Order: sequence, then structure tokens, then C-alpha cells
Amino acid sequence: MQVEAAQSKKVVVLFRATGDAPILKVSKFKIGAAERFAKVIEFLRKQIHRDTLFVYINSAFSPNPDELVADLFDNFALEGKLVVNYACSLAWG
Amino acid sequence: MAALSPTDFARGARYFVDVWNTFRDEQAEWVEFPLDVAAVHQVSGYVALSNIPAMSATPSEIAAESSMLTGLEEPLDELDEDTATLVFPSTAAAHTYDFHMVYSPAYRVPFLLLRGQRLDGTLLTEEEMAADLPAQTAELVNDGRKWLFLTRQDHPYLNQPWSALHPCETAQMMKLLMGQESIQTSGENEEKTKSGEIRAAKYFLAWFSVAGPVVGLTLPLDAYRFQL
Repeated sequence: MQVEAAQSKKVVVLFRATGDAPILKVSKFKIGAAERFAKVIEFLRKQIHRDTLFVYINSAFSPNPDELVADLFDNFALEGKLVVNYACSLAWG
Repeated sequence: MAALSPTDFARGARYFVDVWNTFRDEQAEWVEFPLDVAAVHQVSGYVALSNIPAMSATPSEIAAESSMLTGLEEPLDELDEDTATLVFPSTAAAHTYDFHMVYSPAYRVPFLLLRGQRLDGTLLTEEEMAADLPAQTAELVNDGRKWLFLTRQDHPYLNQPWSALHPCETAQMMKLLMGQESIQTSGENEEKTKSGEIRAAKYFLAWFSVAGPVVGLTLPLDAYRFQL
């Protein structure tokens, strides 16, 4: 079944910093397709040691943390990578 | 600044209504203002989502909560009702919400207004509404999206007391979300073009992807797909 395949499958996520967000030394990671997007956010937060994050996909929308990575990948991956943009803060005031 | 013109707001909003009604059972509608009101506010209407059951949350959370409550409540599946109806535990079931997506001429962005009611039609207090917010919202606030807070505010077009998701940081957020392609506000001429229309639609959906979940309104991923 497709569901079982998705559980073991891993997909490539490419993190792209915007604004004042720190850039990662390694920006490409593999993550289990069966994970929730919340896991991606959590991972990123640990990598850059910041609690505040605004995460969005392909300069178009901000996914719900509940979404499955597999679904995001299937719908929005470009050239085999899911590009995840992140910013640490909005410019206040 | 990633602002939206009143014309583009109306275009984006109508597109949103179509998308919403494609993916969700509760129907959204575009409410057109009378011409004189529209002229004063420079915008022709707003999006209304009415009588939505308490937002407290995603079906998975509800399922989890329901299973915890099994000792307390009998399942309602005996009732001869639409089987797709979610069973809301606790008092949340008795609350319904109206959501309006309106245009803020001051900030030149869309913003979300909401008003909760009890079954008897009386309005909920701010505290009651806060209790109905999805657990996720608290998380979002901790994520630094501190601008996502509810304020008491008069409905700018209906002049009734509603609550609003404060729009002050929306333009900043939209600048990020929309990326390079649309940092400039499109001019009046450009608004007439096809690309202006696509931008308006994208803008509205992108805005909703952040503002909606705060109050428990979500669309499936497919709704965002056209953007590629």
C-alpha cells in the first residue's frame, strides 16, 4: 500500500533563510515523509537556536503544523526538494 | 510593502470564496456592500462565514478528546443525523461563530473579524472566545507570532462590537509570504491584467493560511496547489 511506502520513505527538505534569520551550514536534510510538519519546525528551531520562527513554503503559504511532510512534498516539492523558507521575526513596528 | 489594493482585495476574496466552497461544507459568501457604503470605504464587500461550530479544533484533537470522555458521555451515533457531523465534546458544542474577512483601508491588508454566540443567540465574552481558540494558537503565540492577538473592535462596516485579529503586522508577513515577485504594490493598470488577478488570489490564500488556523479555520493542501 501507498501508506506503508510513505511511512518508510524519506524526502529532502531544503531550508532557506529570509530576513535576519541565521543561515544553516548545511541546508539540506532528509526527513521521514510520515512525519508531521511540526517536526520540521521543531528541528529547524533546534538547528538555529531560536524560539521564534515563521515558516512558509515556496513563497506562497504557511502550512499547518498538522500537515504530513509527505503531503507537502507531493504537492509542493520542486526538483525533488521541498523548499522551506524561514524567518525569525517580522520587522517590528 | 506588501499591501493589497481594495480592488485586489475584492478579487482575492471572491477567489477565496470559490476555493473555500469547493473544499469545505460550510459555505462562505461574498457580501456586497450597497454602492454608497462601498464608495466611502473604497471596497465593495467582505467575505462572510456564518454559524461555524466552535473552532476548538482539528478533528484529530476532537477525536482524542472524545475518547477521553467516553466514560462520561454516551456516543451520539444513535441519532439519525448526518454521519459526517463531528461530535463536539463539552460546552464548545454550544458555541457558534461568524467570521468576516474585511479590508483594512488603514493597513491596506485583509483582516479577520469574529463573533461568537451561544445557542440562544447571546454573544460570547472575550474570555469565552479565548477558551474556544485552538490549542495551537497558544503555540503560535509562543512561536513569536505575537501580533496574532485578538482585540475588541467595532466591525468597520456593520458598526457592531466584534473581535479582530490585529492587522498591524500583516503587511510584513505578506512581504515574506509573497516573496520577491510581489513586493511592489501593483499599479492600477497592472490590476487589470491577468497577473494582477493571480497575485490577488495568491495573496488572499497566503494570508488565510496564517490567519485562518489561529481561529481554527483551515483548508486542505489541495486548496493551495494552484499557486505553482
